Amino acid sequence: MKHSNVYSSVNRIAPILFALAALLWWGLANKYLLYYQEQFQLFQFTFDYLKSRCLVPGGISFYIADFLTQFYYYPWIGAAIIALLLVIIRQLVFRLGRLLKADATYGLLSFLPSIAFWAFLCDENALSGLLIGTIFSLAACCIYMRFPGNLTNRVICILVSLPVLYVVAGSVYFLFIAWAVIYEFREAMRRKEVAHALLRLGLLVLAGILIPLLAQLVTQYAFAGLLSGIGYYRFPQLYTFTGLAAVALCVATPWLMRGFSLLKSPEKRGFILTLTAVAGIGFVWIYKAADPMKEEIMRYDYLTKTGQWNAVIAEAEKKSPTSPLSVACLNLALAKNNQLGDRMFEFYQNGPEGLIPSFKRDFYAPLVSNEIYYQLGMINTAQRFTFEAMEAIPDYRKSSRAFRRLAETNLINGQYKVAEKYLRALQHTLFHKKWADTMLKYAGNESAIAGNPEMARLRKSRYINDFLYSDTEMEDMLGLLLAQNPENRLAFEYLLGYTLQNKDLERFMTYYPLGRTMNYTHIPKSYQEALIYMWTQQNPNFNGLPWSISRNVLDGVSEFAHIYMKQKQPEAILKEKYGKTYWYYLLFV
Amino acid sequence: MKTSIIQTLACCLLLLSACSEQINSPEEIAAYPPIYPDYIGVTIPRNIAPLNFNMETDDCERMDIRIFANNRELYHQQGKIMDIPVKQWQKILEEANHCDSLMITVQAKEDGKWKNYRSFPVYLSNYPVDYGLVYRKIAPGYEVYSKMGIYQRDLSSFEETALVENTLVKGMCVNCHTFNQTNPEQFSLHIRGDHGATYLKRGTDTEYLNTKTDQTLASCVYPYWHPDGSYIAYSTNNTRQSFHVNSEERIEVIDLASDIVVYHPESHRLLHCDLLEGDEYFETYPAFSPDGKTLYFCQASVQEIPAGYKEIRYNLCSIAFEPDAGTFGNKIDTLILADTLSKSITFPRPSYDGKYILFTMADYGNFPIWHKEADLGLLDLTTNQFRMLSEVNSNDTESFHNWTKNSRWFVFSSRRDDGLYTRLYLASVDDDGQVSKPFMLPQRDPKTFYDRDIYSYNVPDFTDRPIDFERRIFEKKIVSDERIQVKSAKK
Repeated sequence: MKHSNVYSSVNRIAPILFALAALLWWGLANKYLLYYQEQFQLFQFTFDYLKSRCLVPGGISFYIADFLTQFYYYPWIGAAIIALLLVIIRQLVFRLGRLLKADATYGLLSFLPSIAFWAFLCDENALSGLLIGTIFSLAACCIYMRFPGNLTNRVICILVSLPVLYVVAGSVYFLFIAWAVIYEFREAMRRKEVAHALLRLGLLVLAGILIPLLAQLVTQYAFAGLLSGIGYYRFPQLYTFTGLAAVALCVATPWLMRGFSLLKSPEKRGFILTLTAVAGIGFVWIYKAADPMKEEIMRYDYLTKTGQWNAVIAEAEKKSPTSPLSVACLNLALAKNNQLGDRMFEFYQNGPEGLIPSFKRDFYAPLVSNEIYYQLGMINTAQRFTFEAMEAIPDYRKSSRAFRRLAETNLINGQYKVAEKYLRALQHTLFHKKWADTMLKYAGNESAIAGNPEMARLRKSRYINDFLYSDTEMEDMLGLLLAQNPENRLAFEYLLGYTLQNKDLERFMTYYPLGRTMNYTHIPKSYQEALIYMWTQQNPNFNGLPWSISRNVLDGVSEFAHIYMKQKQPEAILKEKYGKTYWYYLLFV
Repeated sequence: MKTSIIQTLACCLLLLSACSEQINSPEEIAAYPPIYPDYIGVTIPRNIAPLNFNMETDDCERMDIRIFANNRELYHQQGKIMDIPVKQWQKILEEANHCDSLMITVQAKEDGKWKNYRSFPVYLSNYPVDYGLVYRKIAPGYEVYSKMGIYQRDLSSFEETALVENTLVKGMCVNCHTFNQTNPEQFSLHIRGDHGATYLKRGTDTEYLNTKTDQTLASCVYPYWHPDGSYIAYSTNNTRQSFHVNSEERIEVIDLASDIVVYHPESHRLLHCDLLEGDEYFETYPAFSPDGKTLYFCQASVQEIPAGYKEIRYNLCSIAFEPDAGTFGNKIDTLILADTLSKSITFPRPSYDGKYILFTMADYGNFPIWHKEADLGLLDLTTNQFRMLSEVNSNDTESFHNWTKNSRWFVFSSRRDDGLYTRLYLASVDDDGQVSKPFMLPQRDPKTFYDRDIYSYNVPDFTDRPIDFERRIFEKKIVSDERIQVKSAKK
């Protein structure tokens, strides 16, 4: 078998292996990022939605990207879609290289843009509209390259492609312009027509800028946005280095392939070097682009929003979460499983914000936090957090997750017409339709709501009397929630948890007796630790202790106090043995 | 060849007959048809867009609609929506030129059976409505806003165009668009965000102002033009937003302090009046009388916040204003002592013929859009008597409103449709002060349109002509941060 045949085979097999790797990466290691992406859009099969998306430069690419992103609801399908897009880009780049008569030996270089796009997509704000737009632009490059010896046809191709591409792909059409500039410049220079080369270069650049300038007349976007693209990244007009690099590599790689092909180095060595370089760059780039901390938050959030409380706790048992939002999810899961009082301090805690986060002007944090308020019965606050999160989405899109929650809060609050509005919108989606159909049956149907355990519980858990909510007086808000609904055990646990996290043991002692009617089988461990701590502050021994404190806790507090008093630097010692107690949190965190 | 032509013609005839279904022995229904929007018995101007409507229920398979004037059928249509082309509608109204009403007959097919509903009238007013409406569209949210903008709608068609959207400048919020008695050549607009400003257009001159001064509480808001265009009344408010915890209410917007000032564009100075800037009262929502010699406003006694927020009730007041000298009278008159009724008045809007003041009345506070009990009231300035407008009020919120140039029509925002998303309604006032049943702003396919529309319509105001707004110059100026600093004339 000749070497060239081997390389051709490699170039045929490599995309399959690459796709498999991408499939596993996105389907296994990064699936929560796909869930994350899906929730920040509301793709509807309506003409209105199509119109709203397509009325901006690149809108068709954005619409296709939205259409594909809805499938992220099922991560394996989402992973397959991403793998397919990456492979299409690779194939187009490879094709361009071959059209430049690059040697198949260096075919593996054509994976570089796809690797860059892979890394780009690891950013939670990266949108696949850039990939779709790039595919259109690369396809235009391939069509343009069909006329290597015919300047007239190439000019016609450019004249047609530029406006069409700008409409279809948006400002990533600069990829096509860059390609045409380089090719035309080279062609003119080959004929030693310097003036002609400069003229072609100038005309193309001018045309490239002129079209966004004209777009100003019919759009409400700033010129900078029309030039740099508005639908490739969640923050319009913000372009990441990785995104730019990916697009630039689409232009540079085929020329790189051709450049290497012109070198007189032995094929085998060239191939091995290429393979090593591409694999090395790919590994490092993607590894660096992944953000395990963000992935952790997305994982906890997904499990929380889908009510998988045991799974949340199991995750924490494997590795205690450290970000405030993950901790908040864990605490909610513990509370929902009646374990908050017992196990809260087994895990890392970062204070009241990790229990019940306050409002932040952000499109994600309030969406995560709303789950806590919703479960507590603070329906209006959950509704506000959800609405605000949706309004804060930087690219002005709506959120399927927010629409679902808003439908729920409005159903619980008896605002059926508003709930129906959100549900009817969800009925135009592919994967939320079934849920919306089910929920619509509750609109205006009081007996159905009363028969739904969760909705009935939440209706009962709400505030009865009206007052103005205060973010800065959370303890009072929880206290009033409990006072108006003394059976709201979640509110009780959050109230006590709040005082413990706040290290306000006097308030803890005030609220603790309210738990008498909550049907506890035992005093939760952290409450025992707080109670015995308070006892030891005022009493020399355990005689007359009014609570049923376990022997472990009694022994523990004695030893803890002993080490604390006797050791010069007790923290390290206590952390090892008592790091999961309230005492350690109280004195050292 | 001949045979194929005959076959083609036969097919066409068959298709045409299928388009218009024959109705035999429909079930007679004594009630009016349940249509959306409710256009039954409404009064409309003759230059309004087609009153397209749908049946309220989704069960309707088809409607058969006939429009009559003086018992003469002017139009017939079958379809799921009454969707009359604009030109056809204009022709209908021309043909009904000497009639005071149209009669519309609706037959609807449900479960394969036709029902014949009672015909309903649509009354035709001889007073036209202005060219268009300008409003802000924004999601009915709390503090954060997504895409929003100011839009103008041609009232004789369905055409809506964006004047300015916040996609133009990052983080920009636009609000408080105001014209001088529907004249868009005198146009004020507020821009909030990093590039905040007050845009002021007077004829061909445009200015970008910074209206916050050392002597005022905050930037100027809630503008109202003096009729001769030489002044603009503003209030300056220190505002706070709070949130209710129970299901009925959502948001409470409370002023911690508020004053009224009058801006003189020629000198870029704010005119002050001690009576309008007292510490004991909140003053807000100024509006000049059509003769320019009176300034109406709302005033409430200061209460402790937040404990007394439900006790803040605004009365409708006025003070004399001398336009030539730019001076104020030395006493405040109370036109409606709403406080004694345990009510609060906001948004006084004098009709431009000087006959009435249209206002919003709620139980308390100054931000009635979040008050379900908020209703419209009308003060007759010839008798100084006011009445609540039962003809237009609903069980849900009625809020902001404005008059047409001829003072025969007013537009108001209401949440009656679904309880949250504000929609616009128009109603007429006849010679005797009788107000007609309002009609919802027409849309081509109203049910689908309003159901899918995720914006509220804010601060509607009429414009007597299309607005000439140079968006790109506006963008450039806003981003430049070059502002004319307004000065205070306070000593």
